[in-house]
Amino acid sequence: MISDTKKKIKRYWSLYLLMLLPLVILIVYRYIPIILQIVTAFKDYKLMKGVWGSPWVGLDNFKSIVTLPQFGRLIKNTVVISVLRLSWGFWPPIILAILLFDMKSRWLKRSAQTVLYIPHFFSWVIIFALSYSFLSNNGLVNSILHNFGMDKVNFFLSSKHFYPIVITTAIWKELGWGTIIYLAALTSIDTQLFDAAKIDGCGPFRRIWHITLPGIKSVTVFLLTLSLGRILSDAGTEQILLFYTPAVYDVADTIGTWVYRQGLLKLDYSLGTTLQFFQSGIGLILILGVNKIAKKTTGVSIW
Amino acid sequence: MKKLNNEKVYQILVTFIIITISIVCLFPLVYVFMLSLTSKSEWIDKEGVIFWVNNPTLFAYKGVFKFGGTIGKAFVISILRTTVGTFLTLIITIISGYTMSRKNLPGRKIMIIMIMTILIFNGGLIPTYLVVKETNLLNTFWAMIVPMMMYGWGALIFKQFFENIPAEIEESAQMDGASEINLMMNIAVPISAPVIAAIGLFSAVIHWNSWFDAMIYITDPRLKPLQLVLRNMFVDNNLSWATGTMNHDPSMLSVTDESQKMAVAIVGTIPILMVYPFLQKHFVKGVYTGSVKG
Repeated sequence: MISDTKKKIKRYWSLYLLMLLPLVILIVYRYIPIILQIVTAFKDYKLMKGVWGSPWVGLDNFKSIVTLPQFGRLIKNTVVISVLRLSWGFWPPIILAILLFDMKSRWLKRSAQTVLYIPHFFSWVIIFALSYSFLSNNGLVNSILHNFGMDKVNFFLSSKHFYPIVITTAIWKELGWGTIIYLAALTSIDTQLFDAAKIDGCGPFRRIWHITLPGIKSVTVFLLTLSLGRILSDAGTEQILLFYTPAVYDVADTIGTWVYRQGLLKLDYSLGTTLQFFQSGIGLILILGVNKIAKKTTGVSIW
Repeated sequence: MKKLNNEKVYQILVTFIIITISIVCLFPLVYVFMLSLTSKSEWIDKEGVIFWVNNPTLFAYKGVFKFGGTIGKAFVISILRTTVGTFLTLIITIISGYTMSRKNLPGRKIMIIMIMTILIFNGGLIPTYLVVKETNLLNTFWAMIVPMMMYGWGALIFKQFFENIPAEIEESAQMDGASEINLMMNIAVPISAPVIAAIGLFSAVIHWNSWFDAMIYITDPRLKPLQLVLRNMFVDNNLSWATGTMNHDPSMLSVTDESQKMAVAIVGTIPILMVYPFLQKHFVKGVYTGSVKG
């Protein structure tokens, strides 16, 4: 046994040496933050003392978080935005994937896919720029309104328009890309089923209902489980940070954006970190819970 | 006969919907491009509704690259960040993937668990910021590179690919006395060129598009990448790099602020559009194989 281990170490020592750098980066930039997050949540962080020198405060941070005047709003906005994203954004890629799959013209299908995948590769900054060209005071929509003698609308300062803008741009960005995983599932359906349906005289809608949809059931449940489990985790902080203004905080401020402002602009590390710790705790419970339900009802599990 | 008609109607409907959605996908980009070519006089003539440009002008693009240099410098930083960042990410990711693929390696399981864990858990914004600060990366070029070097998802793809290399190839090389590093460099890496291309492109897109990390880690204006400068221009309405130069050159007055901004936005998409054909080829395959197996 011992000589076997020795032999292995002799064989692999160079690999261990190579692995040193990746391991250091993994530990320093991924694992230490996780430890810091847990520790900071129970400390009153003092800038001069650092994480380890600051005093322990037990559950005080959690009490401060829960009694925060914005607490209810942050949770509500995070959940509302995630739910809107899910309810408006989840099914369009499924429908589009089915349409692309059923499309007879291969040439047209390829060209459409080329176009449809592009927005996924644009940064949120670019997408904000595109939205700006449509919705700013001098943008296309307001110019048209103006030409028809109507009042201009200040889209980016209006709470009423915030959700539609954020959800529409998110769908625009991911609609095409979202089809890929369904198309992959669709291509693995046995083509004999489709031939049999044709012989039986099935129309397109019965074919979709009886063959296509069952064929993507498990991947749909898998993705739905993931999204439901993430409902409190991230409402799209990077996107919201670009699209929101203080005028729409009432509907737009989420856990992620508040943590950014509280932590990195106001330098209140304890509360920001505690809220994110709280968020990941709930997130873990959610994903385990949703996965259990999915496993019971459909037999699909994410791991 | 009736069924056949149903199928035809359905095909027409499908074609119509897909063409409509494709146009919706492409239109904003085309619109912004046209806007970037519009002169101030034409913009005023058409009262801001630009569906076609009669007299396109490149003034806005001259403004981007000729004067001040802010955008040009930011472009260079972005290119540097993307190339250096992608190169280092690939090295770290390939080594990790290869290590995880060695079935007899003591400690392999720990490595796999450690990498899978970071796909689910992260330390959050502030703790990560504190680590970057404590490791003295704040306000340096490396703040945008080092924290992103471990690309967990990419490492797992490499692992899967390396595991599928036929054992006979490795055994015969081992007989010839090849060391583990030789095996990796001379066998594993050369035959995984397509995967390296896919992961590399993925990493490059992430680097090119990143702005948030630069916003929190970088204060030196000379180190700001293009996406961050673009963000400041739109969100903080900071056009100082352009207005400062407009005063020097009266010809700059011939485009609107809007056109000027859109020209920078277009410049921000050019590298993505340039590599897009490769992206599509490698990505779609990568996602397909990944999802079918997973």
